[in-house]
Amino acid sequence: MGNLLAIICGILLANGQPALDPNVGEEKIFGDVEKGIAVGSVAQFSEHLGPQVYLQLPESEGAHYSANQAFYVLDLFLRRHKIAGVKFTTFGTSESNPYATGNVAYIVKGVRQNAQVYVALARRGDRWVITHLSIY
Amino acid sequence: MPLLPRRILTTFEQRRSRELAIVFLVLGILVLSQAVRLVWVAYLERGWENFQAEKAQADIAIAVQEFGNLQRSARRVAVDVGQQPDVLDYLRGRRNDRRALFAAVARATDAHECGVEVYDMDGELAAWGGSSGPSIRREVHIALDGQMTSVVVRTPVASQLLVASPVRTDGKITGVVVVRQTVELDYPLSNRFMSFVGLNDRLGNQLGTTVEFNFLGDTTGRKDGRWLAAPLYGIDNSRLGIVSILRPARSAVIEHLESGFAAFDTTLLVVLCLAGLLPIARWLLQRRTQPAGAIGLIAALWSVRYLMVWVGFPGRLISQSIFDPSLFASEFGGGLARSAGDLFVTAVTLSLSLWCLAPVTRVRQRKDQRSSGIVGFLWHTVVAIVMTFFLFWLLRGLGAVVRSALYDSTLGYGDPGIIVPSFAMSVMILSLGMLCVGMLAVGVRTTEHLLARLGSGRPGVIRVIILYGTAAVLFGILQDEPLMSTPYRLMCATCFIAATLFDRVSRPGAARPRIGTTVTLYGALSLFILVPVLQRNIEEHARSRVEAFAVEFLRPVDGWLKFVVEDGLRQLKDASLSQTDARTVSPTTLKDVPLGAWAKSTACREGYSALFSVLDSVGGEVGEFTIGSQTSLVSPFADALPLDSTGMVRIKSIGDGISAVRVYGGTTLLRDPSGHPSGYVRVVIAAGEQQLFRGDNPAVLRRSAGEPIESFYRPITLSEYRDGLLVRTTNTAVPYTHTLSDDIRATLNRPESPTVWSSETIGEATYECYSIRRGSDSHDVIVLSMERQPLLLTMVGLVKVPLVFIVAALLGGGVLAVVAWTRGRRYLFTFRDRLLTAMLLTAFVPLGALMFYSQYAVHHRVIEALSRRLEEETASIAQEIAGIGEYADVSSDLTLRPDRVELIASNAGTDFNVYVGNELRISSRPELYATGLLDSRLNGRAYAAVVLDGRRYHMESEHVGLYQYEVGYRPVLDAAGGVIGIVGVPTLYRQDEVDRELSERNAVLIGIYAVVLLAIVIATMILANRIAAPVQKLTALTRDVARGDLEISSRLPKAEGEIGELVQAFDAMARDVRRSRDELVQVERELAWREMARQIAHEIKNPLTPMKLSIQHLRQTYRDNAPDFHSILDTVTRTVIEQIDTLSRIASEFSSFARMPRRRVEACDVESIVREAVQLFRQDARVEFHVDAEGDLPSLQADRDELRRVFINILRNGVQATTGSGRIEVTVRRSAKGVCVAFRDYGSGIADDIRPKLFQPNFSTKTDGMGLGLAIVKKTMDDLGASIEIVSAVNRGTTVVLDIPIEEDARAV
Repeated sequence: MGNLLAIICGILLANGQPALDPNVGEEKIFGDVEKGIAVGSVAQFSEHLGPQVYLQLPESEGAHYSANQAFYVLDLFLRRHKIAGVKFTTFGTSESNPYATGNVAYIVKGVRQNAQVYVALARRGDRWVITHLSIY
Repeated sequence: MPLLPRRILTTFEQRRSRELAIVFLVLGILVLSQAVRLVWVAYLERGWENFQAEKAQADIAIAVQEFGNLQRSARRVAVDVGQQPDVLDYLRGRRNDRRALFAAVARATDAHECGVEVYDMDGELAAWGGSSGPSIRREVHIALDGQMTSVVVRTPVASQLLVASPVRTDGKITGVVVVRQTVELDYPLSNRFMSFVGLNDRLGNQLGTTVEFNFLGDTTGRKDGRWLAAPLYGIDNSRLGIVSILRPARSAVIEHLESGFAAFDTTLLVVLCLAGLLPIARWLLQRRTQPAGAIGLIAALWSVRYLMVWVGFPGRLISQSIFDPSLFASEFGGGLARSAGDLFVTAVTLSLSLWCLAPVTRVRQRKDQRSSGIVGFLWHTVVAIVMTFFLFWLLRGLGAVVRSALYDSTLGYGDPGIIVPSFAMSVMILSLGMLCVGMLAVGVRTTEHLLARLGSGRPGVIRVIILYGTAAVLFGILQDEPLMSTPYRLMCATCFIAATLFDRVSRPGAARPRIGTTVTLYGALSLFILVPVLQRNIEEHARSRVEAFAVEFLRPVDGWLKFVVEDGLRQLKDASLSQTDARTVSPTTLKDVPLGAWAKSTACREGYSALFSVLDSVGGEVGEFTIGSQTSLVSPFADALPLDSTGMVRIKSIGDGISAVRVYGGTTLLRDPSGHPSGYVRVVIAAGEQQLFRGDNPAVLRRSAGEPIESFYRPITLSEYRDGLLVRTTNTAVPYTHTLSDDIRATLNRPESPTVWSSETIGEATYECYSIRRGSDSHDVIVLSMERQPLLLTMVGLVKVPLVFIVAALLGGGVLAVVAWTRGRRYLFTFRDRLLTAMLLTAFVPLGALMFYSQYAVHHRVIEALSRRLEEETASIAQEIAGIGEYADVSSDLTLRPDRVELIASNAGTDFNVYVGNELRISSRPELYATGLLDSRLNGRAYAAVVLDGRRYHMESEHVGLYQYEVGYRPVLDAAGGVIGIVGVPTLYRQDEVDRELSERNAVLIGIYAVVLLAIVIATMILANRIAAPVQKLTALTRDVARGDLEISSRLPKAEGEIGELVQAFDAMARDVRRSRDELVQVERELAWREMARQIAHEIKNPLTPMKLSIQHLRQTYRDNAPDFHSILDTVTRTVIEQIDTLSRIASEFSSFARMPRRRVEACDVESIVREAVQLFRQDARVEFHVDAEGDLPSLQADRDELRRVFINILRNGVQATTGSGRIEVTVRRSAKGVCVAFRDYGSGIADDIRPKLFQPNFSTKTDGMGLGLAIVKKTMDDLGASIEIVSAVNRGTTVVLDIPIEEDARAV
């Protein structure tokens, strides 16, 4: 019985990785990011986060985060800042590193604020992942 | 007076309904909270307009009052300074000592953190300190006329409040004191060093709305109906400006209210669940030793934990400190570790779960597999293998957690500069520590089970070792990612075995395990489990960081840098438009626009060298701001940029290889409000490959300090090789003739390996090198090198782990001590504790003093070295500037061309400033003063030291917000020795290096002391244990003697000296007492036998008398030929027979007592005999029996029936003493001699006067019985060499304790 419980604890403790789809194009990823930010849900695009993501958000310092950490940091940001609208206006490719920039509006303490959003992708193995996300 | 009737209160107590009361209370608060929320929201919905108006009025009143408070505070400071004796004396003309005046001003500026200026009666500046600002001659003259006045002045980037206060002496005005205070920064340049929060932000946060203070002369404020405005007045009632408040929005207020209530309700929900679970938990705790109880407790624990995860308590409510995911966040367990705080709670839950499992997973009975047959042998072996693999799978899970603690966090565990870890890091380390202790406990329990299955003794241990070794190796082979090395798994297995064997060795003879020793052992072994895997992950994480940097290095960043330029253009355009829109266009206004736009831009945030400029319609410069080390590249590129309305970004690459710099720039059209083109805005930035295309401005100048490559605590250097030859490098230790090794080139030439790790020794240092090819072969190779940390620094970096363990243990012990003290239990400081404390204090106090002194000495030495360096640098620059008078490019008032300034700075290798009087005239970093970050006025103390005191060199500590740095000052003297200027060399841009050096030296120092202290603690504990052990053993033996166990000679501790003499004396005393006791026992036995004989005689005489009388009567009637002879005969014979029966019964009883039966001695399982005896009494429903037997009890050599009779006698007494319903508890434990059986009842108890007679034969308090039960028990115990002890109190019950030895030798003959 003790071993059964130990197995359960081991399952809880062991770290797992989600399944990844290598066939997702960059347009789909940018679309997921835009949608995710708009509805305030990181889960919409969390599967595209790379193993190391450089995040820069308002009122915090930029740093490299793991995909796990980036999820929760973004989740906290989206909970604190109510998104009023987001739109990617520019898409570019910088020698096989696609990026998108746009505008995002959010409301803090009843005051609407505007910011720029920048997302860049890179190739990791056979799929695109988000390596840089800035909102400010 | 109680609120409820006593009967109800008593009922509540009896039914333990305190928990129920809490549940109802919390429910009530929850309901009330919902009601209040609904009412409040309804009130806001209905009376919103009134509420909004009232709030806006209240907010604006607060804002006006706050501004008034600022003025009053500044006035107080001005008045205080004006009353200082040194100030009065100088202004009065009694003293001409400006040094004292400067000192008084410096004290005021340090105390109040503001700028202070003292003007004499002619309106000339006599002394100053703190921040400077625009000239205020008008206000000074107003004050000299006797009127205190206040004004808000504008600097290019800030608004400053000034209060001018006249100084009166003997009724005459002799001077003016002016206090300057920055109230608002016009650009948001704030980072981790600049903690300034302006009025707007401060009040905005306080009031929960947007506040705007406007001192630009605007009289009406915002013309938007959403704003409410009020005027601001000065001390002299002059109008200074206007404050506008954004009226609160209903949705925002309601949302804020709802979120507040949601947080409150979430907390209440968790409290409600905990309160509701409390009685269940209490019930389950009583049944913790049963499997169902243990599982129930664990289920309850994890239910609470997952409830907390589901409602996001407390992480989502707090989101700061240890619950901030930017410090640590992992997704495992579905939210169990989404922050450091959550991981800690999960670790506590897991530890409690293991504690619940402990009693039910104890090894009950050793199964010797050899006696189980082949099938049994195979079964045990299979189970053992499965258990082993599960254990190693759990170990792998632990490895995953430790890896996550590194990879999913931004905490620098391995940084040797951090000796005292932050709170978040301490919590993480503690969580990992708890998991390691839990892992160790699971490992020990598994090992115990394996030993039970595979055989005890040495063969069993060897089998377990072989099993663990095989599993450790196989796990590494079978798992793709074992997460830890095979030697590490073997080491963990060794820890499990060592802890198990230590537990066994320390158990026999001890009633309980030694808690302190166990805790220390587990703590030490947990360190062995944690530290190696932590260090390995730190190394791997460092490598992964290098690989991430390398990816950034290779990846072109054009898209990002174009974005930065476009963002800059947008900011500049918006700023320019807002200025034109306000119809306050003026050259002066537009001149400041680039600085403000830069401060809000991404270029500022990222720290890029940048140029922001506003141009007129023909390209003429209206305003410009430049910053950064690459401005010499940025400016020419900017000049060459065509005026373009499209905003297209152009790129130029300058240089090649790792020295290459890419410059990005663009322009866009500016239109006025009517749509006509009015000019252009231009932005240019530069980024070097060497900095991985990141900004290289100092952190203090950025809006957000990112992660430049240099901030990584193991510096990374870049080297570039072409065809194996070194082309350029940032590592000064690499010789210019260095070549890339053939092995690396061969590896990189393979298509499938574009990168490779290697290790290389250059000079005295070893580097870990990550080589990357840029093309398809090894023609062009970039190498990122990271110096391997010396072992000392690595140990220093890891000393924080045991430090956290020790602090946590001390805190935990302290909490337990406080809890015990509040419950009336006092911890008795033993001899060992006192000895340990004395030895530790003797070692710690001088060592602690030495450590602090050493730290001070190190700091002093570093500052001294810095001072010497600044001295040399200022001397070199002063000399160069003094000599410049010979050249044509210096004007008479000491100004220099920018390129000359740069050349001097480059030659000296440092930045510098030159002051004339107190004004900054020359600077190699003019942008620092343009941004208002640094004050352009010469530091007052420096002026006093260099000009007034005539010092040739002076060093001053200055600060920018929280950022402290040093400045060296030296006068520039002309040929006649006159001061023509003052050179200042700040360490602002180099302070990071100085701080790093200081922290590393401190880290090594403190680390060494920490290691020494740790060694002292360990050595002291060992010594204290060794010294105190004989005393403790003697104390334990004293207790045994008091209990009656006098056979102590074989257990005496070995000791020398005084303690040895004490031991010998104790042994002699015990022998004397034993001899006296034996004699006493003999005498008592004789007395008892005599008494018994007397009793026998008495009892026998009793029936004999009626027998004699009866026979005599019969003989008489026979002689008399009585007519009723037959009836008399019948009566007499009946009487005689009855008396003979009585005699026979008496003889049987005494025969049973005195009999020495032939015993059948065999190995007896005490627990089973106890349970058999208890079973006989379970028919009695009144009494509840509870048997608690320790596992793995030794067998006794005794007569099974005899033992059972003893237990039956005692149980019978207990049952008979229990009136009504009750409970009898039987515990069976190991003891020093063998087995200890205790019977406890809650019956009527035994009076003190009766207790001495309990074991006397024929003594009884009952009406029936012969009173021989306990006497029989006593005799049996004596025969077994066991002891019996009875503790009782009237109406409180009785406890009978039997201590039976295992060995026959211990028994009395």
